[in-house]
Amino acid sequence: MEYAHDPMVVANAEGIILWVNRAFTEVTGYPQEFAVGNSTRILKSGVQGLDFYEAFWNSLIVTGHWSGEIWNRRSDGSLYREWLEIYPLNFKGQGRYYFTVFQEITNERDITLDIQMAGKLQRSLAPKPILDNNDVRIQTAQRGMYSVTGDLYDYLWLNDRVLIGFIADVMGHGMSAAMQAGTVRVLFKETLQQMTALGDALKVLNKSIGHYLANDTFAAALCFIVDLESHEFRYASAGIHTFYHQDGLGLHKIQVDSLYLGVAEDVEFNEYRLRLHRGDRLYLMTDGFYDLLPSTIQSFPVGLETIDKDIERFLGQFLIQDDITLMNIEVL
Amino acid sequence: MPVDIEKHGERIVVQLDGQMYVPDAAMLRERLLQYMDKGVQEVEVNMRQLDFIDSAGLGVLIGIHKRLLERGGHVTLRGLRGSVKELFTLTRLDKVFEIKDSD
Repeated sequence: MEYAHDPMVVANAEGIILWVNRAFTEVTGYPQEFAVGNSTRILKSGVQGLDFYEAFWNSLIVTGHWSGEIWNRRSDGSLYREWLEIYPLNFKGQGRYYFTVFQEITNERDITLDIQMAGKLQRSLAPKPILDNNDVRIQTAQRGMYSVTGDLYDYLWLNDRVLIGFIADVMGHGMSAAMQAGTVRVLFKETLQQMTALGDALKVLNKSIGHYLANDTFAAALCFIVDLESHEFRYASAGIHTFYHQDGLGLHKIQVDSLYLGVAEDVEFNEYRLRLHRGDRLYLMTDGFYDLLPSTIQSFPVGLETIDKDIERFLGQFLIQDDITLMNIEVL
Repeated sequence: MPVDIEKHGERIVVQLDGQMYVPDAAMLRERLLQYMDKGVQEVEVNMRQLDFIDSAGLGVLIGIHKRLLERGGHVTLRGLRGSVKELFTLTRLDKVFEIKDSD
């Protein structure tokens, strides 16, 4: 504990400091020999009012624990913000003591918390991962290398028999990729709602996407339509070159040559069709997942019903080096 | 991943070996940008010893290619083979880059 990364303090019930570690001195500026024997009031900033300390002591007495943000003062008079946790220590017959550990809240920590918040927001804006009706079932799993992801997907019913959707990957990771993914999502949705000829839609997207991506960034995408009237899966690809189709005969690896979006101007993209039967399954993925698969597989390693559990088990074998999205579609 | 870079005037020759993942790609990008800041116009990348590249690595090559095109330079790739060559075919990047001595 003496060499622990976070500052630590042990004080008695009267607030007299009995022990501090080295990190305490580094953050507060008080040498150990000065702090020990002094009151914890040497740290008091005056920022918190009486109400704060009442709630603090109430929590400590009632729950035996307090954690939260607090402003304290260094030996040089400067104020700092810390995340503090305090626990009582009871030694039989020797009275009550308090053990405190804190972390200074720096700009870096604020930024980390902010990115985590952005990740939550991003997940809340994504479509529901499970779409289940009488005709088709879609389940998706997404994992970001960091809290946020540059992968994106969406789907919507054009009418009660035609479902249109996409899976895409803005190259890069972290906040910059996530910011671009947010605008690319809007671009994709608006384009696909107006253009159901998927090759043409990708051509239009390729021309406009450059305005929304950083200079040396590009995107991979696969757009699709599940047409329950004609029993077809129509798709067009831009750099997402592989997906899998499971039918009554087995698992088929479908590969299509296509260029990424945002690499070159005036690129043609083709639309392809697959015949769909009841019970068929399609496994669409970004390259973060594809790169983890062996080149030949007999059965798909992630089940439709158990996608979340299976993907954790599957990904557990690897060091994840990319954002990952897997979308499984089943025709019922 | 070992990366050797030799400079010959306005041209550099980059030797990629082994497997190229995200951290290698980020490092390569920084090194290549430094050379470009010094006025390098031609980049030749020897990929004969490269066994794996993911989209992060492709991103570095595409980014450098786009930047050099804007200022009249260009990227040449050499010695693509195996899964690396297959990836360039599947993503049609073999039509974007000038590729030489491929298996």
